[in-house]
Amino acid sequence: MSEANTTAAVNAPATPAPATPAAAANKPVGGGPLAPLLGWLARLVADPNPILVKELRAIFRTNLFIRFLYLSTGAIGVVVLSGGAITAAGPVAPADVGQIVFQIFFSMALMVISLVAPGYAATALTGEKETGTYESLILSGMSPGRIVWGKFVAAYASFGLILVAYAPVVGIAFLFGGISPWHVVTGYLGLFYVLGPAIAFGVAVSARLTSTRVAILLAAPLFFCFACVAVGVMTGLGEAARDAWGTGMAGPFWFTDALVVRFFEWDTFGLVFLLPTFLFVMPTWFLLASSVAAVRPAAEDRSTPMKVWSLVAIAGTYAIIVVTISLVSGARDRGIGGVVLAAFGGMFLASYALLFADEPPLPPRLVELRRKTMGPLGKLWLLVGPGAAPTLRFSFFTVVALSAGFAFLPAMVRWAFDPRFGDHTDYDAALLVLFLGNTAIALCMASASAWLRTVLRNGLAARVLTIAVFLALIVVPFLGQLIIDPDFIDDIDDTIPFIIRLSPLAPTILAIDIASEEMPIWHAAEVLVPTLLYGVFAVLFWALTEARVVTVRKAVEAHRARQIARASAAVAPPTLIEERRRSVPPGRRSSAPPEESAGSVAAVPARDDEPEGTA
Amino acid sequence: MIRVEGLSHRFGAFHVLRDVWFHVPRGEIFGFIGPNGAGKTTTIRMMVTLLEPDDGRILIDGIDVVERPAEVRRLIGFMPDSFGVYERVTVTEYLDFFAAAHGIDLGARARIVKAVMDLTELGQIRDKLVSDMSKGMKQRLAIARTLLHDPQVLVLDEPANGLDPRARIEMRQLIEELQRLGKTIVLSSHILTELSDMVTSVVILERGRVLANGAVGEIGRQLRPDRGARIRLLHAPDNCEEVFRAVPGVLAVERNGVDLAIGYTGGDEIVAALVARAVGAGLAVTRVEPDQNDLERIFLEVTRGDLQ
Repeated sequence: MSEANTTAAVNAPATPAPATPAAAANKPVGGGPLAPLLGWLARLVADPNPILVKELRAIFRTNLFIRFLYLSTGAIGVVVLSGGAITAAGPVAPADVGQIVFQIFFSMALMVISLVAPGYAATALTGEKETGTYESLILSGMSPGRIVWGKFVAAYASFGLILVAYAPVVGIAFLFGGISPWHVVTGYLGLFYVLGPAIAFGVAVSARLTSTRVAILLAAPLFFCFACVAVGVMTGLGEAARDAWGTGMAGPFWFTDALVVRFFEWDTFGLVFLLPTFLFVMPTWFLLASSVAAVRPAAEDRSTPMKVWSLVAIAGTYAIIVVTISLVSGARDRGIGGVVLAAFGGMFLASYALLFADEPPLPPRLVELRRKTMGPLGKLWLLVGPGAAPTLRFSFFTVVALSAGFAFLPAMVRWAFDPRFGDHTDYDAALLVLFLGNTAIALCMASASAWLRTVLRNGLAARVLTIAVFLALIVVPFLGQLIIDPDFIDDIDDTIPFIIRLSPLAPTILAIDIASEEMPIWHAAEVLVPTLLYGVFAVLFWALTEARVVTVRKAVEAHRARQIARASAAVAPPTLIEERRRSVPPGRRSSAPPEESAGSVAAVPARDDEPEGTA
Repeated sequence: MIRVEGLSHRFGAFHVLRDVWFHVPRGEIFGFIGPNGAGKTTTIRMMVTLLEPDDGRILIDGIDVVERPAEVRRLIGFMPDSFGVYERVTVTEYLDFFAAAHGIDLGARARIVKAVMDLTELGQIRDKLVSDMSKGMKQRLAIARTLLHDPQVLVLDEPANGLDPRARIEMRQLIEELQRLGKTIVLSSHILTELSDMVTSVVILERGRVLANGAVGEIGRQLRPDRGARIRLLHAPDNCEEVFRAVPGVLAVERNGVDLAIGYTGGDEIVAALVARAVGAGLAVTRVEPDQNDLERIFLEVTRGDLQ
């Protein structure tokens, strides 16, 4: 080994070589406004995410991957051929056979995605943990975001390749007719949309667990169940689309026909392209943000990526509300649609309220350290930034914003489309009831779970306990009222018993009764009972959370002060061996023969405060 | 280079570390030893920012590992005890991946990877799949990986674990080479004979507390101020014990034929004086064996083998 050369080479600063692809990639590409974007793309191509490159190399050298590729392609081919043959043998028009074969192919591909992709992605990080490479990866200095993104893209790309490899099989459908190449393109678009959350779900499970086996067993069945429900919903929506738009294709992949035939119709574009894009991108983003939070060390800010996600999700929800209500024809239907949307929004609000329930009392230490050097904007962000109390404030703001969107946007759209409609007041009152009641309930859930987290030191326990309490609050008043008056359900359209007004469902019941005009509008005031009840508890839990945070902060600061004092004293306690020597009689230490002397050191009894056996 | 101050940690009610203090000077090969369950791996994991201490602090080149972990990670190369490697990539691809992960510019990456492969003698198997490599070569690859970002400190947890004797010797040579390159090296190992040839100072942990800390020879002297040496003469005259008793620092001389067992206090200069006196008195010395203050003896004397 040439020492001088290697020393110089290893210790040399990492400067770029003069003529390399990287140097070319780093050069600005042309000028103009697109130059930064083009430069970024050039760098991305020349030096992609190292995890992506490494994973793809490893995947394509794995026999299992190649075997799965040809076995699954063969299996799908057999099923599609058999399905086509059986259908064609009956009295079915060739074009319909083509569409059935098309549906069978894409349904099979969807099943493979739902069953295999989450399980496959679930090995992404657990595999690293089990083989002992995870720590090296973390210590390499790669950001958690880059690690998660690399894993996601690698799994997405390799599974995407499998889907593309299936493509020749769908050619069988062309033998019968009834579909066009655009149907296949849009069908594949649907598959690639589903692949996003499927892979992201697997990665999210993988980021939280350490066992690959458990991760696969959890991710694959859970996502498959979810996919089955989604396929059922999609098939139902297909029937609705056939009625409304007269599209010709049934089954879960009906949307391909809608996109091919009516892509440039604004309602189809909005509902079958933009809305699904949002509905698939947002969960994928959420799951990836959650994975990044799980990979990120405890000393770093874990909640901000989720907060950014939630702001975009709220903005997108606003857009969905506006578009959905705009698509409804007729002022009355818009009124009813708005109330129904806001009522379902209550469930969404309740789930959202628990989103940040795992926030520790104090911000991470790194954030605390950066606080001193932050500018005014940074300090402003810290008011709603990491830590239990600021995050609870953020939850409060966003819960109110989301609830207001559910209530006021449908009303605004209705007023905009039909300003002369006579029954605006009923629907406005119903929406106001939902806004007040659901906001108070969601705030109460958010603050109760935040307080429980600071007390129990466990986010999962806080969430479970909060859900349990609120489920009890839903069920118990109904059971109590049933005991008092078994026939109260018959009259609930006219009168809501007082005990039911305490239930978190009271605002929804009240709003539906008012919107359906079965209850006079002045009954809207009854919403003040649950609003005040849950509002007071929300404020109470908020105050408790803030107080708890102050207590924890004082304790931590006192502990740190002691620690700094000790460290600055820089006096190490005597080692055990020194202590033991001090307790040996001096005469014995110097004059005893070597063997005895050594034995005496080891034989000195331990200090009184020294742990014996297990501590 | 590394300062560990008042480190304490517990897992639940279980005290893993109690008020651990020690200091690793720059450029040393530092041994980190103790029986199983003593808290070595916990301390190392804290040192490399994988675990936050409950109490106390660790400074690497003056940087607190908890407050500025990203900076500390740039200073440290860590090879864990049960390290893993990516099996289905070649040696070059493996190192290139970690070089990219460390953010080394693409232009400099190939040169640095090549230099590290040359240093660790992996260049000849650069295109070999990691799965086809021997355990010793994988260990070498893991060390190569830790060198990519040119860290000042290398923390190697059981680097010779599971290696055959030849691979151990090669590993030792590599570690000594790295020390010559100016790295501070912290070694944790159970193979004390291997460590004793390399380390300049040690800390010995037992049940989460520091038993002994300092230079190996110094700890040995702390344990046994009175040392021994065995001298063999070609011919032993009747009064030859008196020649050695006259040397200052000699406590006792016992004779057994041509072999003399001499007890003394002091350092190696006493052994030199004994030999000089013997030669001066016309005694023909055929062998001198000072008692070794080796790590194995120190370890056995200071630990009691209790596990937490």
